[in-house]
Amino acid sequence: MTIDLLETLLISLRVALVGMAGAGLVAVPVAFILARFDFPGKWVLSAVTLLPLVMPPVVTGYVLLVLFGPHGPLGAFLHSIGIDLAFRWTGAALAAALVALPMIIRPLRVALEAVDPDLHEALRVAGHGRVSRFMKLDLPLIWPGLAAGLVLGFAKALGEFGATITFVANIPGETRTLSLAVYTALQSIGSEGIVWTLCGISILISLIAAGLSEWLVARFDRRRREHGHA
Amino acid sequence: MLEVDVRRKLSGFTLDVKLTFDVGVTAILGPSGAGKSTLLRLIAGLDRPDGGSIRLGNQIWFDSASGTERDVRHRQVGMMFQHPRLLSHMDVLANVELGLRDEQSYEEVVRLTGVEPLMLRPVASLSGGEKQRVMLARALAGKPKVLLLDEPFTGLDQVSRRELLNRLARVLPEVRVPVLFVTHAFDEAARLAQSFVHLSAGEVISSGTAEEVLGGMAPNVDLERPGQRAADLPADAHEAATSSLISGEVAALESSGLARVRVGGQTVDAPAGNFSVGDRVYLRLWARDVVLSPLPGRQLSARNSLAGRINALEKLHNGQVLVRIDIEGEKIAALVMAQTAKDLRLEAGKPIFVIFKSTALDLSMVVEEVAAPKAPSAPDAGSKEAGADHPVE
Repeated sequence: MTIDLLETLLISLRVALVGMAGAGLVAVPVAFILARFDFPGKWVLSAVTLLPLVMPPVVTGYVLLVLFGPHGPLGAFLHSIGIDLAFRWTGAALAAALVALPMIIRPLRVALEAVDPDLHEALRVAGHGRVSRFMKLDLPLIWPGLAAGLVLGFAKALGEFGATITFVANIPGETRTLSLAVYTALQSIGSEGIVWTLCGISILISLIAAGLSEWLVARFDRRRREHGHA
Repeated sequence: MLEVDVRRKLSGFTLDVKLTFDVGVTAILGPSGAGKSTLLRLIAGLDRPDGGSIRLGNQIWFDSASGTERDVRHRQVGMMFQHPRLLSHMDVLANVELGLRDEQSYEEVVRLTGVEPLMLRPVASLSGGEKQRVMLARALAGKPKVLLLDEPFTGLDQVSRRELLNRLARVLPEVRVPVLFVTHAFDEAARLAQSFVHLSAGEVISSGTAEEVLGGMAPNVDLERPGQRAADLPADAHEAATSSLISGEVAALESSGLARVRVGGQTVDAPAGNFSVGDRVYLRLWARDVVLSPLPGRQLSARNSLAGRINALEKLHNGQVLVRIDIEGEKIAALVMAQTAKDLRLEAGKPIFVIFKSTALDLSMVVEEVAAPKAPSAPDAGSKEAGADHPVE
C-alpha cells in the first residue's frame, strides 16, 4: 500500500482552497441579503444555507451526484460546455464549498448585523451610496468576521469525507484528499505509520485553522466592544 | 429658502407642519416625542412624508402630488445627530473627509470648527464634545444647502455643552444657509437662534421671535403633556400663560447668587444662573407675577422695581386686565383685576412702577456670551475633561 503524501496534501489543499473561495463568493452576497433585507420567505433562505451543515454528508453527496453526475440535469449541461465535476477534483471542491458555506455565512451575517445602522444613515446624509458605504463602513468592520468564517470554511472543506466519496469517489491523484487517504490506509493491513502521518498532518492543519479563527474572532469582538458606538 | 409642508403619521398623532425656513438659525422647541426629530429626518430624506412637499428654492426634494423624491444623498444636507456618528476605524481627518462632495477644500471648515489639533487622533480617544465638533466639521465639509442639528448636546456634561454651545454660536452665523436646530432647552435656543418654532404633538403651536414663542411656553417644555395642543387649553390659560422676555446685560455678579442685570438705565436683580459679566441675557417674567404701583416699591421683599409707562390696557373676559408697559423699550405685561386697574386709575400714557421678586424670573437665558474666550485655541484647552464626558445612553 503506497500513498503519495505530497500529492494527497496538494490535492487536499487545492480542493479546500478552491472550495473555500467559491463558498466565499456565494456567502458574501447571501449574508448581506440575510443581514440587511427583510422579505417574505427569508427564513427559508436562511434554513437552506444551513442545510449542508445539518444534512448527512452522504445525502449531500448523493444529491450532488444526481444533479451534477454525467446524466444529471446540471451535469449534462455543464458537460456540454466542457465542465465535468463527477469523479474530478473540481467535484470535490464543489462538495467542499457546499459544506463550507454555512461556516462562512454565519459569522459574516452576525458581523454585518453588528454594524450600526445609524452609521449607514449618517453616511447616506453625507452623500455615500451603497457601494461606498460597503467599502468604507461595512468591510473594515466585518473583515475579521469574514476571515474567521473563511478559515473555518477551509477547515471544514479540508475534512469533508462523506459527500466527497459519494460524489467523486476515491481516485488517487484526482479526488483522494487527506481524509479519503486516511480511510484508504485504514482498509489495508500494516499501514498504521501512514495513518498516523496523515492524521498528524490533518491535526496540524486543523489546529492552525482553529487558532487563526479564534484569534480573528477575538479581534473582531474587541473591535466591536471598543468602537461599537463612536 | 426651505419650504416644508408635510404630514406624517406617528404613534398617537400626526405630524402636520407647514413652515418656511430662511437663512439663519431656527430653533425647533417642544417636549420629547413632539415630532421634532422626525421633522428633521423628513427634511433630510431619511424618512418619507405621507404627503406634502419639501422645496429648497426651486429644487423639489419631495412632492407627493407629482411623486417626486430626491434621494437623501443628493439633497446635500449637513446633519448633527443626538449622538456623534463617527467611523471609529478611521481617524478624525478621514471622518471629516467623509463629508466632502466633489473636490472641495475643508481647510476653512477645519479652522471654523477648531478640529485641527484633533485631525490625526483616533476617534476612540475623543471626548463626547470633541466628537460632536468633528461631526459639525463633517457636516460643513460638504458645503450643505441646509444644516440640521438634532439635539447635538444630548449626553454632554456641562463643560462640554458650554464649549460646543460657544463654538456653534461662533460658527453658525458664518453658515449662510437655513439651519434647523432641534432642542428642548430654552437657553440653547435663545443663544443660537433668531427664529423659534414651538412644536407639540406634531403641531406648530407658535412660531416667530423669542418673545412670541418662548414667552408663552411652560417653564420646562419637558413638563408639557406630550399630547397637549394649544387649542385644548382652557380659554383663560392663554392669558395666564402670558409672559415677557426682558433683555439686558449682566453688569455684576454678587456673592449672594444674584446677578445685577442692566435694563436700559435701571437694574434688575436676577438669579445668577450661569451668567458671566458682559453677557447679553433674556429674563422671563410672567404677567401674573407682576405687581403695579404708582410709587416705587421700597422696603418690600420684592427686590425689583422698574419705572415705566403704560402702553395699553386689554380687558379680558374673566374680570382681569392685561396691562402692557414700556420700560425703556422693553415690553412687560402685567395681569391685574379690573377693579385694581380702576382703583389705581391705570390708563395708557401713565407712569407706573413694575414690581416683582427675583424668584419670579423663572427662566434666564444667555443670548450672547460676551465673555466667551477669544483666542481660537482656548476652548480646546478645556475639552479634555477627565473622562466625565461620556454620552448618557
